[in-house]
Amino acid sequence: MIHLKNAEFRYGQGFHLKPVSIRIKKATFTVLTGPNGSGKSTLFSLINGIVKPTSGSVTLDGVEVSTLNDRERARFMGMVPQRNAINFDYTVDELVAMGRYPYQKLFSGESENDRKIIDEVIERLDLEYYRNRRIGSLSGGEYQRVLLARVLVQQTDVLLLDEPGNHLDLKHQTMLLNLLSEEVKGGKTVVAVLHDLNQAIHFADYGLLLDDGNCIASGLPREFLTKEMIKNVFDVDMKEYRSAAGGLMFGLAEL
Amino acid sequence: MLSFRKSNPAAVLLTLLIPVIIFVSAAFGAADISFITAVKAVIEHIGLADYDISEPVKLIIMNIRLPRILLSAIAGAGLATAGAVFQAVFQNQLAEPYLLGISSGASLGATIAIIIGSGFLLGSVGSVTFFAFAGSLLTVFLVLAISGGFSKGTGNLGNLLLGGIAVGYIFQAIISFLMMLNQDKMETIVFWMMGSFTFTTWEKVITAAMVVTVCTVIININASKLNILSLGSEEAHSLGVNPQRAGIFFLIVSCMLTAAVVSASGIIGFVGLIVPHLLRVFTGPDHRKLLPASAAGGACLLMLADIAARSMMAPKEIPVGVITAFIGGPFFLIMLRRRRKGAMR
Repeated sequence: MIHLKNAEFRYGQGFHLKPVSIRIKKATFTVLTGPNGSGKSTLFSLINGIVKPTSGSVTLDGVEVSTLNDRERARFMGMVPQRNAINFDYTVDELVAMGRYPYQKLFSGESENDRKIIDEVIERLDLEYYRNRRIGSLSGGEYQRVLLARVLVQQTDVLLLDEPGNHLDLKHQTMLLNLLSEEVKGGKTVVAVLHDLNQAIHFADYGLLLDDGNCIASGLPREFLTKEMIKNVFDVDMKEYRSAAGGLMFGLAEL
Repeated sequence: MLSFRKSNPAAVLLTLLIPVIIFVSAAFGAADISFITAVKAVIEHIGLADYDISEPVKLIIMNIRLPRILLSAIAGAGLATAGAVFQAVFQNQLAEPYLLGISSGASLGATIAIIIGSGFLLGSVGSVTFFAFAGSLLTVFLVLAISGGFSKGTGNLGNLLLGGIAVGYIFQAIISFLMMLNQDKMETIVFWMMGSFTFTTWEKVITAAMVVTVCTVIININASKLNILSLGSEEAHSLGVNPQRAGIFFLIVSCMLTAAVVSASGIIGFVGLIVPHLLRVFTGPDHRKLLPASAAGGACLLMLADIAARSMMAPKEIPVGVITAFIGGPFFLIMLRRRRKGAMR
């Protein structure tokens, strides 16, 4: 589905993301992780088509992402950005409805079908009560749900999430990740930047560990994430735990 | 995506107010003409009825008062629309044509057109408008370059405004200098610096009306795109809008808008700041509602400001730009203060 072939990116003389080759399969949950400044966001921007690779290629179902026109791409790939303050206080309904923009023509406006999709998603994500609230009055968790609703309204095959758990408490993080897992079961491809390694192990089918612009490991996170690897990359001593069901977990070693 | 689809009481109410203010305004002035007479004079002129209105009264209404009233309405609609667009593109509710220096750029362009001799390109009004457009466009990209592009609105609020204000000052200084060198044209140029509807002709009204109408319609048709753009470049990208391309498109159209207004009426500040800001309280930020309401609201505000300009110190006239600055300056300071306190998102 998404294929990066020796994709490389340089910010002038600054950051350099060394060539990465990965294949992200359809209906999988992929996690990008690594320390701050390791290149996660750059890789994310490459997949999303915000930046073009300096060399190599990024293709979506065989088509070079950078050659897609803006609306086409937005019908394939939707993104939940990191929480950034929007300077305009739209209502929840208005913001969610913007997810239909890639399907609208200049004079057509919002169709009945658009409305139906918006209403369904709003109901599914339990946002009915907030519909006419202004986004400025929402809590972090509520706002994140609104952004998620917008990307679902966009009806894309691929969902990209940049640190979706940021600003969320534990309950909301879990809810969000469960919801994403459901989407994956429903056939969507999810790519998320995550910091929490335990969540990566628990939820992801595929993962990428980046360090200083290098992709140093890829595959099943529970296989490549070892305490040696974590020490090496994050410079933190962790201890491995096993849950009753045999699942792997990491905790700080000093505890 | 067409703007009038959703119910928009603010826009409807303000639009209905426009003809009322037109005739109230037509009754103001040195010659004593009542509101009813003004209405009758217009009806008679169009040929719908015959009320036996005297020729001088008809002349005053049709050739002196009506053109300036209509120009003030057109200018108000144009500046308020341009203000709303700049605010969305820069994701910054303090952006507007005057504060960004764009009006000054247009004014410099107009001044140069006057000095090198009007009419050498597109007729006198046409060439002034064209030069004003070139000046405003040059300014917007200059300010953009200084402030580091439109990527993050809040981040470079200071840069954007300081850049705009500095560029505005420099341009006004150049205008003053050009004025000194061309003292014979001083009077015409002074008018550009202050903003006034005093020397309004039908030619100016029609040129401004055409440009403002076309630009406003184009902007309103694309109101949904402006909504998306106002979320910031990353989100715009993921929702299928190329932020650079769309940003430049909107900037060019609103520069054209500003240039048409400035070349007809000079620099009038703060309309683009006050009107969209006040109307967001009623319409919310959705540009499909905000833009039509702003156009109507801007028309009303500037017609009222012009009434004040003509009547406050009658028979002397205060430049209308002075009136809008009296209202807009303090308004701007209040907004700046609220923003610092973090009351505004």
